[in-house]
Amino acid sequence: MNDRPRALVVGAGATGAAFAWRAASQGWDVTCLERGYWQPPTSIPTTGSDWESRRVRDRSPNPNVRGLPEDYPILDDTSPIKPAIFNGVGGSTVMWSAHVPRFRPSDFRVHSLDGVGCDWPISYWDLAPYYEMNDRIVGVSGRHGDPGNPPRTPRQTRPVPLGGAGRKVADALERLGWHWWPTDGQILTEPYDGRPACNGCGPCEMGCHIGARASADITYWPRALALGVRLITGAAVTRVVLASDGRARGVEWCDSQGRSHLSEADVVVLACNGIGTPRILLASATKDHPDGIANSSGQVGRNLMLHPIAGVTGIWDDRVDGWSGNDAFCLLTQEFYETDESRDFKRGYEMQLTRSQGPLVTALGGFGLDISWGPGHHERFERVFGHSATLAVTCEDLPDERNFVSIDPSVTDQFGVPAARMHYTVEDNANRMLDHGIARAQRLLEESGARETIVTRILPGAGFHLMGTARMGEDARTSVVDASCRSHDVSNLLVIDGSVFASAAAVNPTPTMQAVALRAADQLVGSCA
Amino acid sequence: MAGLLPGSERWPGAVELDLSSRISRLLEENQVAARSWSEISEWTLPPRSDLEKLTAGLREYERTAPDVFAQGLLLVFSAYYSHPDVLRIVEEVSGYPSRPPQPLGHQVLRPGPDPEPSSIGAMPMWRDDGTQRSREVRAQQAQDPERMWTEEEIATWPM
Repeated sequence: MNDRPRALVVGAGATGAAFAWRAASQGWDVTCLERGYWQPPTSIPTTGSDWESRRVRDRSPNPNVRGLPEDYPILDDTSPIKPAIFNGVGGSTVMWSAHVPRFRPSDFRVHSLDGVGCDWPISYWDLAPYYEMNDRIVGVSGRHGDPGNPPRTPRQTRPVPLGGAGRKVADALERLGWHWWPTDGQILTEPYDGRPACNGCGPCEMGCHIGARASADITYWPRALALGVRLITGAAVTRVVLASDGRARGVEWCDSQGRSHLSEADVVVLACNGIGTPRILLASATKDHPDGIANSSGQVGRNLMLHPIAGVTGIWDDRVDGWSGNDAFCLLTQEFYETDESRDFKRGYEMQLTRSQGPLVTALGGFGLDISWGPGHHERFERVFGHSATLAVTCEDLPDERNFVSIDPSVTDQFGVPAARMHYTVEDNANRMLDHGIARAQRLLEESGARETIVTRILPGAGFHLMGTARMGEDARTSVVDASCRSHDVSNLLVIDGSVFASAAAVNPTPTMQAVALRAADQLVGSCA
Repeated sequence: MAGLLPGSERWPGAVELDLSSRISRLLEENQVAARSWSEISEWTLPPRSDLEKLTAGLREYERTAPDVFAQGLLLVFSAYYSHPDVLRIVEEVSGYPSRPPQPLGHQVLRPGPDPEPSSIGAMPMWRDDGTQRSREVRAQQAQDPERMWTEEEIATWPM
C-alpha cells in the first residue's frame, strides 16, 4: 500500500464498520483491514437440504469447530463457555441473532450505585444520541415506550411476532405482574431502507439470506464504501508497530498468500472483539514492551466478561411452532434487572424468550432438550419438536482479573501469531444470580402452562458477548483506554470494540458497542479538528 | 446406526434408509468426522437383532470414547434428519414444512393479535443513576410516557 490513510481500522465488524462510516462521513480518509472476506447471500446455506448439519459444522459459530482459513485459534479448554465469533466483513454480526436491548443508565455506574465492579468514565446519556443514530442506520424492530428504560425514538418497524410460546409467556408475565416488553431487534418486520421484512425462516445465526436481519456488511459498509473508505479483505493483522516516539506507526499484516505488509496511518483503531483485540495487543510485545503494547496497567486481556447464560426450556402440550420466526427472541422481562438488597447477589439479570430449532438440532438435544438416541428417541422427539421454547437467563458478569485472555505461543495461526486462550470461571455472584434466575424462569414457564421444564445451567456455546479486556477508565493505572477509547499509553491508538466495556450489564452488548464506536469516531474527529 | 435410531411404527430405522451416500458426502467434507468414522468401524458391537445388547454396547462406547461417539452420532443424525422420507414424517407429526428455511420462510404461529404489555404508560421503572440528567429525563418520561421522541431531541437532552 502506498497511500497512507488518516485512520487505519483493524476489523470490519459491528464496531469497525460503524467507526469507519462515521469518521469518513466527516471527511476522514479511512482504510480498514479485515482478515476474513465478504459473505455473499449465496454462501448462506439455509436454502440447502443440508442446512442444519452445516450449522454444526462449517457454519458453526465456534471458530474452532468451523475452522475456516481466516479463523484464528482460540484455546478454550480453560473456559466452560466456548467462543462464538465470525471473521469476515460484518464480523460476528454475520452470524448473530440481532437481539439489541440497550444498557440501562445504572449499568454505567455499578460501583457508585452498588459497590461492585467499576464505573464507566461515560454515562448512558453520552451514548443516547449514538444509540439512536445506530438504530436509524441498521433498522430496529420493536415498540417505544418501555417504562423499564429511558425513552427512545419510535422503532423503525413493528416488533417481531410473539408466536405461540411468546403469547403464552406474555400472558403468564401479565398474571405474575412482572415487567415484559416486545424486544428490540435488528430484524425488520417491514421493508426499510431498501431491505425486506423477515420471512420467519428461523436460524438467524447462520446468516440472513434475504437481508432482513441487519449485519454490518449490509448496513454500514455500503455507506462507508460510498464515502470512499477502502476495505481490504484477507488481511490478517499480526501486530501493531510503534514508532520510536512511542506512538503507533501502523500495523503489520499478512495477505492470504502469506506476504507481509506494513500499513502506516495517523491513527490505528482496533475493532477485533474482546478476544482478538487483546490478542493483537499482547502479540505486539517488543523488547521495550515485553507485556504487549498499551499495557502499562497490566489490564490488557484482564476482566474478561462473557455473561453466563442459563437456558430454561418449557415444553407445552399444544404446538407452539418454535421453529418459525426469528429464533433468538420475541420478548424480554427485566423484572429482576437491578440490585435488590433482599437477594444474595448484586446487580441482576434479564430473561428473553427464544424460540426453538429445526429437526436435527432438536434431535441432537439442542438447548438441553433431553432427547436421547436409541429406543424411545422418536417418541421423545414428537413430544418436544415444535412444542418447546427456552428462556435465556442472561446474568451480569462482574469484572474479575482472574478471568482473562492470554496468548499461547505453543499454538499459532498460519502467520505465526500466537493463539488466544480464554481463562474463565463463573464467579460466585453470578452463580447466585443463576440460581435465582433459573428458579424464576421455571416459575414463569409453569405459569404459562408448560408441562415440563428443563434446565441447562450454563449454555456452553454462548461465548458471543466478549467484553472488558481493554477496559475504559479515567485512571491509567487501572484501565487501558480513556473515555474517548484512546489508549492511555499510545495516544494515537484506539480500541473501540467490546474490550473497552468497564461493566457487562445483563443484556446483549452490540448496540452499546456500536454506540461507543460511533462516539469514538466523533471524539477523534473533534479532537483533531 | 441400528442402535442409534431404531425404527418404530411410524419412523423408519436408520438402517432401513439408504444413508450411505449422505454419510460419504459428509465424511468428504470433514476430516475429523472421517477419522472418527474410521475408528467407529473398528468397534465390536452386538448384532442389531438384539437391540437391548446393542444399546448397552453403544452406551459403553459413549462413556469410554465420548468425542468419537459424538462425531458418529452427529454424522448419522445429520444424514437421517435430512432424508426426504424422514422430513415427510416430521411434517406429518409437527407441521414443520419439509423444505429448507429459505427462500420461502415460515409462517409464524399467531393465536391472535399480539397483546401489548399492560405497563404501557406506567411510571419509569429504570433506576436513577444519580445524575441530574437522569432525574430530568425520568421526570419528562413520567409526564408523558408515550411521547414520540425524535433523534434530535434525544441528542440534546435535557431539554
